[in-house]
Amino acid sequence: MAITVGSPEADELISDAKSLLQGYVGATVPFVRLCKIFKLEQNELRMAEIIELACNKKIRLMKHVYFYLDDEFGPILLKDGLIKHYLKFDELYHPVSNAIIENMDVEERVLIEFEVIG
Amino acid sequence: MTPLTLKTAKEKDLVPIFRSAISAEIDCYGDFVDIIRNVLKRVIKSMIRGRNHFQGLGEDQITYHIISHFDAYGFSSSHDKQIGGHVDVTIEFEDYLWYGEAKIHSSYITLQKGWAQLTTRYMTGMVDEDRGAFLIYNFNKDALSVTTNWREVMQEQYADITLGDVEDDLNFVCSGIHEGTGRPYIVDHYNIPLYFEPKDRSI
Repeated sequence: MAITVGSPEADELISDAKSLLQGYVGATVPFVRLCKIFKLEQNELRMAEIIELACNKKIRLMKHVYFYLDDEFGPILLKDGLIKHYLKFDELYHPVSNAIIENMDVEERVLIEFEVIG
Repeated sequence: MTPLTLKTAKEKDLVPIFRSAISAEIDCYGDFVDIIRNVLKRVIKSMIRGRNHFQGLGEDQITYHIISHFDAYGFSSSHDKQIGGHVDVTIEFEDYLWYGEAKIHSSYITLQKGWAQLTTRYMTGMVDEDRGAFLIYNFNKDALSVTTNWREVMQEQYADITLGDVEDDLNFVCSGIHEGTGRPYIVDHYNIPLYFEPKDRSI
């Protein structure tokens, strides 16, 4: 169940998150690092709930950043729109070649991190 | 801790992240509908590959199987919701609403009844709730002929309907005008071939 935006719980979490993330504005932070910052290494569900709240369009404290884990080039940033296209049409374009990636397990190769907007 | 990927974000404790990723990519009703269509196509493909597991199941059980896939997406999916009667499927996200009507194929009269329920009883025809799907659970042989015949019935019975091309030999889109609002609506027809009668054991 998502934390309700505008609830006292959400307001308190956002206030705490802003404080914890103030040194990271503009940075792209992996999930593992966020768990450490929030001291939630043992509670991934809670961290995921806070991320969901922080990425909410009405809050915009963080946003998703995607990388494609390529065998040859390593992680490559996926430009805006590529994940939307994948979610709508099941086609992921390779960020370098622009060819549709035929890999059956393409979702295993899409890394999610979070840009702190502040 | 394994790296956070689109795949691991669908796992139980990380589902809020997957939900938020979906939510972030929905900017309009069309985005919402396209995601539903994509998920439906995946689910249907998987159902056909595992059609042996659906033998003997009723309409409701099959429909529950389909809508359960939308939980991780942060959509509110319901079976038998009360909107002008009991709609088979509704999927909601914020102010967006999508409708589904499902029928086990037994006769074209049954399909016509389902079609009438979907388009004249349940769908409101309003903005951001004018899209849906008509799901035909087909346990008969030769699903292709059902698509052909059903299109003929629709052309004969519903003069205001425009049928799109058949995709994958079985599915098609159609558009019509909602009687109440006078606005256009669009419905995807999915003919799901679940016939399963292996002959190997009888040899």
